[in-house]
Amino acid sequence: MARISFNRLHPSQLITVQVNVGGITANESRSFPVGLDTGATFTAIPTKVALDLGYDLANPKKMMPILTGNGIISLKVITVRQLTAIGETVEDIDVVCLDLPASSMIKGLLGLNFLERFDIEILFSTNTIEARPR
Amino acid sequence: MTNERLTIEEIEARFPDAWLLIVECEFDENIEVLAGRVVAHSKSSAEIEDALKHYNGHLAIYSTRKMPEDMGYLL
Repeated sequence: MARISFNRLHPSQLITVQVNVGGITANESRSFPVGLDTGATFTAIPTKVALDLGYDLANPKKMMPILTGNGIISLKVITVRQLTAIGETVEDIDVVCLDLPASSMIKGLLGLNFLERFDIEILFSTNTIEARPR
Repeated sequence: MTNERLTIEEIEARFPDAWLLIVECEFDENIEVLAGRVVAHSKSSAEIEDALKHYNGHLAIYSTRKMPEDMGYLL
C-alpha cells in the first residue's frame, strides 16, 4: 500500500499531488503538480510537456470529445510510457493534452483512468491518501 | 539561475511565489522533489514550460506560489 501526504492548507484549495510522466525513452521524465480530480475521466498533462518528452502530437492516438464547464472541447489522446503518482506507477496509460489557465496552481489533472486502477482512501483528518492495487 | 544544488527547503526559501524548473532532481518515493538545481524561475508557468526544451533528463516543474484563499476551483 502506498501512503502519501498532500498539502491542503485551506478549504478552497485542491488536493494537489506531484506526478511524474516518463518520456518515449527511459532517461527522460517530467514531474509537475496536478489536481486529484475524480470528476475527470482522463488524466491530463500540458501540451508542452508531452512534446518535450518526445510524444508525437501531430499523430495522436485519437481525438476525444471532453465535456467541460465551458462546453465540449476536442483533445488529443496519447499513450505515455509511464505515469507515477500517489506512490503508484502505471505503464502505457492514455492521457489527454490539456493546457490549464496560466494562473492555475496546477499543470494537469490526475483523473479516473489512473485512479480507478487502485482502491483509494482520502483521509482529510491527516491530509493523506492511501492507495492499494485492486 | 543557480549552479548550486539545493534542498527543497532552501529552494522554497530562495524562490518564494514562483514557478520553477528544477534539474538534476532527487525525488522521494512519492515523486516529491527533495533537492535539485533551479535553472529557471518565473511568475508565469508558461515561461517555465518554454524553458523545458533547453534541458534533458529528469526535470521537475515546481510551484512555490500560494493560491489565494478567496479563490476556489471548479474543474
